[in-house]
Amino acid sequence: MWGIPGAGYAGKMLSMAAKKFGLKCKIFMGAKDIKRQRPNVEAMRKNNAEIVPVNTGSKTLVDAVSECMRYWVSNCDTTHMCVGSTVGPNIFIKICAWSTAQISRELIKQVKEEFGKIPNKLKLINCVGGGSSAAGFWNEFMDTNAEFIGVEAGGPKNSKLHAAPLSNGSKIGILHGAAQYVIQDKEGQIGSTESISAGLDYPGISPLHCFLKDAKRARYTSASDEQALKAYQLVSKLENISPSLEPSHAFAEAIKLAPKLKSSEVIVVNSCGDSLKDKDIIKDKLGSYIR
Amino acid sequence: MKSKIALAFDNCKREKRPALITYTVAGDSTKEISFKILNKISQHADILELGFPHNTPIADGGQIQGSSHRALSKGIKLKDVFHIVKNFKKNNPKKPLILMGYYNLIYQSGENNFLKNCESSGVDGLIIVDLPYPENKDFAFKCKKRSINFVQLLSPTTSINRMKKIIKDSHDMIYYISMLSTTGGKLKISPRKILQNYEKIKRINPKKNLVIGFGITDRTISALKAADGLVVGSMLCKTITNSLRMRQNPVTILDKVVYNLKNKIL
Repeated sequence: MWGIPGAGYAGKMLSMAAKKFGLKCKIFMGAKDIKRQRPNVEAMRKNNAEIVPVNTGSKTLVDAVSECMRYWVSNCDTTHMCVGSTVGPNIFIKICAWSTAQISRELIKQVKEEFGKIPNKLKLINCVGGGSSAAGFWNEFMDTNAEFIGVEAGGPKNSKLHAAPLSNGSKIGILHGAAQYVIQDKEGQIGSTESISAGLDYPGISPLHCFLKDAKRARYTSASDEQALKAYQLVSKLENISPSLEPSHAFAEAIKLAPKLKSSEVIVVNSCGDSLKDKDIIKDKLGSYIR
Repeated sequence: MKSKIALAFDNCKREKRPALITYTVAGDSTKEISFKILNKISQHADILELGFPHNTPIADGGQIQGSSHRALSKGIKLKDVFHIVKNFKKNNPKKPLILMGYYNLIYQSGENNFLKNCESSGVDGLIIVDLPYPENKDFAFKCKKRSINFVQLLSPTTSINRMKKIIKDSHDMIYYISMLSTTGGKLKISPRKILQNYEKIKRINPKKNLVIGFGITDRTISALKAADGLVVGSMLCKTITNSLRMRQNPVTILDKVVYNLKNKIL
């Protein structure tokens, strides 16, 4: 039996793996995320996964992780916990980051094929929520000159709420078994978050990224819901891809940076999700969803 | 000098019964009510655990989550928790009181500052659910220097080797988690099996006071009375929930419930 907290993608992949190996699979998801990530939920159900709705707190990822951990401590004799992001206790971060590092193992090969070497001025832009895809996207480039830019979810333009602990000066706290920069009040109660993107809607951030920030190896910024939606529209129109709302945050940063750069500078954006899972949100915000 | 917690266990051993340890949440359902509850149930309980609520309580089941939520929605802060303890200790200077909660609140207030407040309000011990051994060694040492008991946790998945190390570094009370569960789970293994595990731990150092918690209610408590102490928490939180729903006074209802629990282990 497997359990996993997830906003969608990792859950979908896990349900496929469970089906392949004939294992039972439970996916813990916030009730709000079940609603807004419907296509992924349907895919998981098709793979015979049981979706466990979490109705506590904000009904999003943070509550799903808590509930999944509660289930796991109660059933750790029969169940493995899989965490879909680089969050939680040490070993789960390592497992996840090692797995996602495959992205950069492939990317570094492709970059060398394309440019003959790793370009002197290379920017790798990735969205960060828990931080799994960014950790994987950057891993093999750690000892190169590549610049790492992480883009957090800035939330709605006119809202005080966001999901961007690194770019909003949040303090270090303890959440889900790890010390990390985390959105919280003075007392240490975990703060509410808001983002159009279910996968980035988390008050904490991987300790890996906290370290990269403190070591000044990566820099972190944020994009608002509106900027992400605009980037989604522009990229879908001009390119032959349709990014989900998570990487749309990274595209927003690329769009902002590109006009200021010389032609010799190279930007790679990780389009780490497909918009199909966000079709309900996009329809709601833009009036229609065309694929 | 012996701690109040150690003295409470000595007293229970003389009376040939386990210590009754209650858990309620500070500020549930209001500061005043939680203070009155403490005063009332301290007539029957030997040691009182008082939760300082956190809004992401990963070790707690529905009942304690509910109590924490009620308390936080009324705006309970750490300073209120210490205020409740201080007032309680004015009337009950000898009754040991243990604060229980999550580490982030301590981390944000600063370990030394938090312990200073514990000392000045009269806190006798601490249970910090998400600060495991050996990461808790430094903090436990700081507690000891201020004569505050740091209560180590053991569970059915703790290996014997690890238990030996934890017990060696423990203070006057050790907490054994009866089964694989969050708080408030239904007892899914037999009391006999729990006591077998309990005896295994006791053999490592028979002098240490070992209490059992998680899943203990009025129905299961008497079957476990061979232990040094028994913790009842979720059942009390549930009682508060029910009494609020029935528009009854939680203070008098809880008094009766704790009185009954005590009678079952005499």
